[in-house]
Amino acid sequence: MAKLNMVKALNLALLEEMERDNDVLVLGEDVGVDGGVFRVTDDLQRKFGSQRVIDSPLAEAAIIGTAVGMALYGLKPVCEIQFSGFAFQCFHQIENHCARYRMRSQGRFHIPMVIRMPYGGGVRALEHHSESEEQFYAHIPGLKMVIPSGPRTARGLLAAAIRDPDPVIFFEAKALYHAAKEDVPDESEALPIGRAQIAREGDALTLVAYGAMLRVALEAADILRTEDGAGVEVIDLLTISPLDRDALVTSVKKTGRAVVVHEAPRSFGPGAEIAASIMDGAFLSLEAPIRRVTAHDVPFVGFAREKANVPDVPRVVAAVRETLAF
Amino acid sequence: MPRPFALPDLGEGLTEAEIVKVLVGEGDVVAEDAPLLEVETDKATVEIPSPFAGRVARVHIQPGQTVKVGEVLVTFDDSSVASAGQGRGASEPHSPRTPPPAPSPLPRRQPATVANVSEQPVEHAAGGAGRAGASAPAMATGTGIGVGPVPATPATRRLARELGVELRAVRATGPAGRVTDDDVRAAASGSASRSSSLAARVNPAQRGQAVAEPGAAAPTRGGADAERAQVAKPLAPIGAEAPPLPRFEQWGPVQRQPLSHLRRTIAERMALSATLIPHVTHFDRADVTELDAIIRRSVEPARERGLVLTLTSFLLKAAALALKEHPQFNASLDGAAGELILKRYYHLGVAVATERGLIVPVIRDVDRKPLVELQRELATLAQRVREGKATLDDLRGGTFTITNIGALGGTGAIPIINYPEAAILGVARAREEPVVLEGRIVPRTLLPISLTFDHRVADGADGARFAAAIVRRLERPEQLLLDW
Repeated sequence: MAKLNMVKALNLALLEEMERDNDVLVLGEDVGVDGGVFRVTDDLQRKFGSQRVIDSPLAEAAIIGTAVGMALYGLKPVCEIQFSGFAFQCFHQIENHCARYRMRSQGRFHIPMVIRMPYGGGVRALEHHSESEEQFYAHIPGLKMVIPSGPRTARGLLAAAIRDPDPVIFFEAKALYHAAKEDVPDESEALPIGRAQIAREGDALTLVAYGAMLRVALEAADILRTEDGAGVEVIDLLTISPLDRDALVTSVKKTGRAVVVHEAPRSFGPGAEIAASIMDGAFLSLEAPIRRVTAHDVPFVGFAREKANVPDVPRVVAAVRETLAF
Repeated sequence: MPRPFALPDLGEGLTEAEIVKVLVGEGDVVAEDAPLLEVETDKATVEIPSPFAGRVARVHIQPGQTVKVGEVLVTFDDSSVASAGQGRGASEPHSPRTPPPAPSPLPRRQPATVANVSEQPVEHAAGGAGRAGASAPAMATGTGIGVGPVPATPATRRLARELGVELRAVRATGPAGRVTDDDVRAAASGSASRSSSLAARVNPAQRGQAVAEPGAAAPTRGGADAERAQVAKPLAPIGAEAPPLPRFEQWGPVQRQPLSHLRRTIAERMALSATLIPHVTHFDRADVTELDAIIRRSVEPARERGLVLTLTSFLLKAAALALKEHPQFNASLDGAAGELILKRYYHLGVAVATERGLIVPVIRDVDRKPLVELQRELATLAQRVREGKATLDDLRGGTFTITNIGALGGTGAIPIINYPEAAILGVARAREEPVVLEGRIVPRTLLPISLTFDHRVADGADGARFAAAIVRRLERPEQLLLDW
């Protein structure tokens, strides 16, 4: 067991997968010599050379387009988009090609690639550096959308994403990069994509969160346990798409109540799909309407006001209390 | 099939009560609504009526015992005894189409609206027809609340389905009128509908009539036999339903406040009266200059005897004497029988405003008591009422009501009859006013009165004469002394 932060854990996963499989390669802006703006690809070029750790031009469409070609050829590229806010430059490549090749070729080709992007607020970054836009990718059939919540899940899910035969969008919460360290097993570990985890057991309410919001949810659950004596079950979604509906439904059938937390703006966000899935599967167990605690329906605000926009512990606690009291 | 009867929810969040008296014994046959026992809660002593007619198989409790809501008090035998029973239950004609309701597995709908109020009394007033209207399906479609889905969470709906409970038939106690899991469970165990209907029945003033002292009614009936040449027929039932309210939230923030037990009782009683009785109000003014002078002169001697002399005791006396002259205002209309019940006793209610709401204690035999005694009783009763210590006996059996709004000013008000009485006297503030007397303008003290009466019972001319009879006595106080 080693105690690692999320940057080191992601770096470890890349290292292990590149050692395990010679077809795995890394490309993106500043990933080579610089080791990535957040140092996730630190030292990889020195170990694996510039043929497998490629510094790309500042051109997101080119990174993804090139990678799609590599994947068709049989390689397993892991692309880094420096900030998810810049991904619109390559959205065409992702949506029109990356996501569609398996369908378009009737299964003859598939795209085994990973697109890593830092996402989310809480680090006082500039415009286009703080958005939470997982819903764009989760909405596209043919893509998988994964968001780890800490070092161990980051390492295990990145390994699984690299081994996955199809394209995986892999979001990394900037707020978590250098946050808490966590024990990461010595053995290489791949966590199943499409499977949520119960981060904390409880029977009063199901609190659904992912990425950086998991910490917020757990803190809220602590407060609710001590102040209200309410056992809140916290589900760490880990994969946004495909959604682990079974885990959600099983939990809500037990608790009868649910609150969803995400950093993305509310309207048409993942919370809506999560709430609808719970309605479908656990309707007759519901004791209260499902609430969402989300960012507001505004473009991401400047860093001076981001705390008012991104859900925090008091907002989650208040929503849970309202739902419990309904 | 034995039918258990448990302590109903008496309202105000009370959870237990002490048994004061058991009024029935094992083997007794009791009519529906006949008094079963008296219990004392921390609010008042309450008489609990029999929920149905039948033979008492077992009495499970004894005086002095404290029982919790839901505990079985009495077990009844088979309901077939009911038809052989005596008293009100048996005297009510049941139409052949509508047999008396059997204890149904689904509790009857008791929506917390005016519909709830009218159900019980209309049932009494209109007999069989009222019953038919009260059966579950009819209520479901007939009330405003019956429109659209019943508010309940999906989990509660599932519970209701599993327990075989019709949601519409459940009394809702949750926020925003929602049916809760507990409501459904209560309904499933058969207590919900009963407790709610009984909670309504034990409300003081209403109970006073529901039990309708048979001794008092009987001689009247016998005496009226000669006049019953024509066949008495029941009046048509009144069906009043409140339409659903608009969503007020669409225009601004609102707050929902549950009604207190007393507020609900007042609301039910007023709605009942205003719905059932065609009200007409007659206005008059009494020149009380002389009476006022008498009261002023007597204030000091009265105080020495520990009395605060007020106009109300004179009003009571004047009204009681006038009622003797005009007995149709000291009466109740029995719509089911098509008869007027003239009461040969003069128990007058006086409306008392308390912090919790309006309460009407009753002074008995006003016609026979000296003024000083009336004054003394009035003071004691009013105090008991304000302290919340009034017993049901203090509050029921009234035949006519006086409401004095003078203390708070105003020039007059139109009171609503205290159902099922036939009339009520409103009194505003007495003021010195210029009056033309024998060609000269002189200052006189005038007391505005408003007499509201049941137009089914009396006409405008009768009302004017009755009001004049009161005014005459107030204007010539010596008549009060002489009991004329």
